[in-house]
Amino acid sequence: MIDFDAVEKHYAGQRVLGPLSLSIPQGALCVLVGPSGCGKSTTLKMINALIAPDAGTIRVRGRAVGDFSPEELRRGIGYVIQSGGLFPHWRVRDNIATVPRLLRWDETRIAARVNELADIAEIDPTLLNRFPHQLSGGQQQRIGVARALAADPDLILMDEPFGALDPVTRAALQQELSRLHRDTGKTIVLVTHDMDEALALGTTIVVMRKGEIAQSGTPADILAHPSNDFVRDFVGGADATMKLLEFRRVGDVVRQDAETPAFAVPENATLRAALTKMMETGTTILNVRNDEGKILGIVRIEDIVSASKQS
Amino acid sequence: MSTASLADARRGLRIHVADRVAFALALPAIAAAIFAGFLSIAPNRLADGRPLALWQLGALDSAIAFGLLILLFAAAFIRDETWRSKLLFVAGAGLLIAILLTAGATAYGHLDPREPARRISLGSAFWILSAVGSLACFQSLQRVSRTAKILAPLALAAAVAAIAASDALDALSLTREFHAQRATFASELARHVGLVAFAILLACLCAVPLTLAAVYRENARATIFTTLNLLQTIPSIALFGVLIAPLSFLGAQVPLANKIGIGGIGAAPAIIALVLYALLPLVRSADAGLRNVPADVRESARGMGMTPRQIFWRVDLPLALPALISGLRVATVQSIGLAVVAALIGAGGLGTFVFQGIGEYALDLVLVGTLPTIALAVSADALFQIVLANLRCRP
Amino acid sequence: MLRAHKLAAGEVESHPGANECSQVAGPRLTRETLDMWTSSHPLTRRALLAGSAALPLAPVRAEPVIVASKIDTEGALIGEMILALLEAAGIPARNRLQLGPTRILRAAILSGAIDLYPEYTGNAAFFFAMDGDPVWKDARAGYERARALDLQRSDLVWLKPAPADNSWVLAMRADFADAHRLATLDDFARWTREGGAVKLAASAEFVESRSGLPAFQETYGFSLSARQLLVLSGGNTSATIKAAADGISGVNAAMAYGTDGALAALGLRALEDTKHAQPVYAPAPVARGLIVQSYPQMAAVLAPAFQTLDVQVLRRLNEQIAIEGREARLVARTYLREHGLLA
Repeated sequence: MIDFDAVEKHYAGQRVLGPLSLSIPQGALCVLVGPSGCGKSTTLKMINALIAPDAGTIRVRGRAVGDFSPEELRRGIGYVIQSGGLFPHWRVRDNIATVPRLLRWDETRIAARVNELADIAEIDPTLLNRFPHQLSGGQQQRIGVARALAADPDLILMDEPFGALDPVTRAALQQELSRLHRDTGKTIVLVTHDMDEALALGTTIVVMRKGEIAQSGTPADILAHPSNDFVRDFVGGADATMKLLEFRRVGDVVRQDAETPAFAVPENATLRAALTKMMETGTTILNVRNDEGKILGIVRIEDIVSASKQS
Repeated sequence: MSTASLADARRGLRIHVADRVAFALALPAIAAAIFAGFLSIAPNRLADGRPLALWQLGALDSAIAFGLLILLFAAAFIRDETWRSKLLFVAGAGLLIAILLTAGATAYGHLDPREPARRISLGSAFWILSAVGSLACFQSLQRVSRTAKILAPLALAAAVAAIAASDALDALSLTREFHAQRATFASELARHVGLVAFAILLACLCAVPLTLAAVYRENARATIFTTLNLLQTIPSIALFGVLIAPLSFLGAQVPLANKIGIGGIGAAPAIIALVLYALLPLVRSADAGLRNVPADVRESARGMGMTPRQIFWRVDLPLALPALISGLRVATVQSIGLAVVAALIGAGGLGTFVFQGIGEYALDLVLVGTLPTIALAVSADALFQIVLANLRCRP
Repeated sequence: MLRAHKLAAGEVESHPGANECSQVAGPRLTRETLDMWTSSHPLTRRALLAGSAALPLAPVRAEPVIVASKIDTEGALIGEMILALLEAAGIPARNRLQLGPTRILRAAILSGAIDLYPEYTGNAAFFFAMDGDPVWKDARAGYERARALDLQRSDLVWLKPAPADNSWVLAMRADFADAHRLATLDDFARWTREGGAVKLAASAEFVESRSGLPAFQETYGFSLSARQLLVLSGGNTSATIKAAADGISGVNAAMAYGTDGALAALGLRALEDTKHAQPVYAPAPVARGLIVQSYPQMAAVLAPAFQTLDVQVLRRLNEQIAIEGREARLVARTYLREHGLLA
């Protein structure tokens, strides 16, 4: 979907980013993560030509970014920024309709699409006629997402979309984003400085540092095999082990055994959930059952411990 | 007795000023009514007058005026907001109308056929009381509905205009000066409005490229604002004067310029000077308005795929509109005042009466030019306020 | 009254119109030919603007004469007289009275923005930068010189002047003057030299201008110290006259103009300028040559009225306007009617 080939960005004669080569496959939810100033936002904005690279090429859907007119390119890519960036002088309805209007859809089609999006993004229809300043931060961000989805682009860029929200709202919106990604199969590139958010959302994580890619891979990869100290520190040191348990399921370590434990966990529970269950129940062994309630085998605490050491 | 009940008792005993503005208005008004001259009677237009205080007038007239003043004073102590507003408006509007009628009627009484040159002028107490009356009305409108905010001043203005249009005030020197100028008053007023309107229109046209340069070209910005600030420091009379020479030259050398009326005197230099003065408020506020468009809003507009032109028309301009209108308001009110000076370079307008009055030492003639100028400025200001209020309530 | 009819030295240089006029005027034929093309000819210009209804009757003559005046009492008075007389004679006129101070009027008539206004002969000295020339102290010779110069250089015509002199004067309270037997400036000079306690209220222009106080001092041989002067900015004689009349700040003498209406009303008397220290400032209508050609009867229409306007008449009429507050228009028309100059 997106290919970076030896892309560089210079500032005052100094190379501040790259050379960067990166491929983001279609359908991925790729999270660019790193401390501030690592170049993750710059990388994101080069995809929709808000920032031009000084060397190298970026291809979107196989076509070089420079070959598009910037506006044409951007209208085909959803874009969400931190505070929502809603137009304060337009009603919610008109904010959502921004790109369809730029694409000159007819008004009945726009109205139908806005209502459809309100449904998808779970926006109360009564909010559609309000102005952004009358909404909470969470509601504004929901609308920002709906606006990005309006023209049904297959690629969405999100720059710290949940950065300004309180933890509860953030968690709720993260879940919805995951659901949206799962349901629609759109390619999403998201920038965050929060590793937990990256681990919670990403199918691919690109850890960046000082304008370069420190490591890229699946969340489990990065947790289990940090390629250097920077990544290890960034993913949280010792706590990474616990986080890793989130990415392994009980079904992967189930074994047959003669013992018959008193408690059971579902086979799709994470190892972390199983560990929690053991601590709650004061046992070291649990039954594993499938959706129908059939016992598939057992899981022991030793299996969880050893799973956290390998990958 | 507990501490709490002691405090309660103290609070109950203390007289509570509910409206400090009304209180502050009433005191100087009462002082002026007692000590300052309400009317002044002079043997002729140039000689000094003999002051006549409000309490020296007819018993009924002064009783009504003082009664309304006491009502105004009392209103300051009413806690209930609705009642205070009502009383304040009644006292203020009543005072304004009462002193107008009193002044007019008293002036008739002092006319003397043996002394046709005798002049009965309005004294400082009249002006203080009318200012206090108007301010009390505006204070009373602080927390009323938007319709009342517009209708009440209009009704009051209509009442005052009706009194002025009747013959009730004809014996006053001010009215006599006005009548002496009535042949040219309408045309000078129209000229004044025309000068300002044309200058503002032209200034808006000139402000567009200047604002765009100031906002989007960092290196032009300093030059533009330095120049505009410098222009603003030139005294108006000097700027009007300075323009005479180059425009005379232009008018003499370029037949086309002469043909369309550009010359060293008259409307051309006046309009140019007014335009130069109006540019700073226009450009400064437009610049501030455009620069204050939130960066994230502009970025998301760009990210959505708006062209620079679309960003300007659909995002920057609508968001800067309140600031643009504010600038227009300042520029218009300022131009209405400055256009008075234009009379000195042959552009006419209400300044004609002002300078004629200054020359003849006839203060009432000066007022014939000044009062309509103030009325114009206040109306323009109110009009823009209404536009702004309507803009702000739907962002 | 604020009579800006005297120009401060150097004021003329600041407006190029006066210097340019000789080149602009040029030979009559060339200029008119040029005007035909540029339409700056007032008649052509206005013929274009005039409604078509007026065309069949008198297409050219129907164009009004733009009458202006200075922004002061006497300007309004004489301007209104001119308007009334032109109208009575069937010459259409447009009112642009009280247009501004002298330099504005001068620039306006040179550029053709106005056609006619009353000017003072003494001011020609400043228009042509000849203020040292004694010719201006003679009413007749000064008028002839002004007429000749303006006709030749600017195609402006000075019509017949009024037999009045509105020059600067020194005025004192009549009772004080009587008590000290002061009738002329000679008396005043003698009294001052003998240590008379004089305090003069005057404008800065009067005190500094060569033809003002210095001219009086030189001609009559007296000198006033800074402590004997109360200097006001601007040429507002109402303030100086009031100061002398009321004895404000010990003032007992005032700068004034010869035809000031306020003098008599406030009990002041002008001291006679027997040695003619001042140029003569006789009011005369000045018109553009083209207008005089279009309306040749104009000179004859205005002359009889101007002939009657001597110092006493102007003072009295100015007083009616400035002191009694009567309308200039009414004062002018009443006077003309009373003297059979207007039907």
